[in-house]
Amino acid sequence: MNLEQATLVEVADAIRAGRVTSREVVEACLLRIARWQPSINAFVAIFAEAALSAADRADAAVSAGSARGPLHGVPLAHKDMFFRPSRRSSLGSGAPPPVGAAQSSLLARLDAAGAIEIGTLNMCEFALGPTGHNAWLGDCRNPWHTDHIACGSSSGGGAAIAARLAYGSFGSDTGGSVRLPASATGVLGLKPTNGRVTRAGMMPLSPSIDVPGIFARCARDVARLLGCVAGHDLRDARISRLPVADYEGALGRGVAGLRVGVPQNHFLEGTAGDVALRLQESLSALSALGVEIVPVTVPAPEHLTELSRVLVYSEAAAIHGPWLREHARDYSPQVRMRAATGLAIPAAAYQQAQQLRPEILRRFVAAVFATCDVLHLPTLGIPVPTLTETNVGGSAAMWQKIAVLVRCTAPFNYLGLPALSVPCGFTDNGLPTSFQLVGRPFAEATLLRVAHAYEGVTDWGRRAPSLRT
Amino acid sequence: MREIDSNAVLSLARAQGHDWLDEAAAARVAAGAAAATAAVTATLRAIEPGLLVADAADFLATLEALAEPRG
Repeated sequence: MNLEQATLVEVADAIRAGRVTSREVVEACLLRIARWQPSINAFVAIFAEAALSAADRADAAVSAGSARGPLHGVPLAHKDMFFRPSRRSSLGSGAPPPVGAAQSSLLARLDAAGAIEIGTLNMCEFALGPTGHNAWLGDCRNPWHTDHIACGSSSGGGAAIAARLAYGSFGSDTGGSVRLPASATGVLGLKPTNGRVTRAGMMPLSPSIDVPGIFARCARDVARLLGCVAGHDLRDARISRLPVADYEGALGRGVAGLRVGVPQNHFLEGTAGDVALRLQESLSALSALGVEIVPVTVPAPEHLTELSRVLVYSEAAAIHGPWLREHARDYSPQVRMRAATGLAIPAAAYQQAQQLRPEILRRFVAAVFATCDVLHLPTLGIPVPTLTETNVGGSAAMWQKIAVLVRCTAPFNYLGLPALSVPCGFTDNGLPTSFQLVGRPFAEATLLRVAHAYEGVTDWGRRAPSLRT
Repeated sequence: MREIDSNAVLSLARAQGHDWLDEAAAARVAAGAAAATAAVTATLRAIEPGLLVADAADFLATLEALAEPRG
């Protein structure tokens, strides 16, 4: 078995069947991490000994006929902001504040499914940044070309999965922080519906908006990971009790007859020519699969990102305010300014942005999903920029640079809708690009079904970067 | 309506104990806060709700009510 080429599901099934051992899989990942880490800085910590011990226990369980769950023996790695009582997460900070000793519900569910945590991943400071720069932990770099950003804030997730350093990863998505790094590195990135996946024991940035998201190399892998963590959690009051779909089972239902909507306003404005070409090619491929491509006018999209920011910055200021007041120098300039923005947003504006949210969602769903089943738009409308081009720190260029990056992602954080970034080729600079699918609330199975069908007629997800030495 | 400016930001920040903000940082914060707040004002105008009586706590229930039909 070629462990570098194999997907998460293929490896999980092979371990369970005894065709490969978990130790062999973990050792292969550790070898690749040792080779790649100096170039891309995807990891914050590597748990080599603990992961090998866990792999041996997993192999013993397989021999005894008592494999734990659908991720038995599979090495994963996650953004360094999911808590375990036994360790202190960096939160992407050089001087992380104390956060208590909560256990992440999400990690507990992955443990129960048999997954092995091989390390923790780089991230932007306090998950507040779309580029992947980190003044404290070092910048995470794009494995396709290390002069370029891996995007953020879950920067290590995209880089690690693209370079085949682990088989799946969880990050958080508050403005595009999973979808952007996924797009920049050529892997899939899912932001589930708000309320589908528990945040208990995850560092909060903006509790109204935060959602854990998934990085993986194909739709089936995303489906398996989502199935392991989705569903109600008594420790998170904002999680739905709606039944969890059979995401893997739904993949094979085909897409003929589905309507894929292409926005006629806002989202495609400013899209670079080479990105637009890849998007058009992906629509042609979907059309050949039998989907109907329909034009859609999106209602009032121009304010959605700023409405999201009202909530994010107000809540970030509330969360960071006491610590920031006393430890401002422990924050990089851009992060402390963005966190402080909430200090100047009127409380009434914050409350109004909250009260408007259900009505704006109703209007959006009624206007868009009466016409189509899923929206198709860019994840990132420009080619992946370099670290130098985006190293604006806290300068006057900060807001404009951020706005360009999150233009097509942040609106769906305010709306709470599920969104999936799917690789669809490369731009002229040799870096990956993607399309984004957005669905009705809790339509993750439909998004994954479209991505799975698309993967069947393209090979973008199977391509891997080469290490340049 | 006047936008939030750097003087207002400095006053608000210092009233909340954030003495670290200087003029340059306050200008950046003001730009962000003004744009965000303006979006709320513009959206309120567009929706024309009269009294804004919606309950923000309805958001999850709204997502559930609008969920894709299972099939």
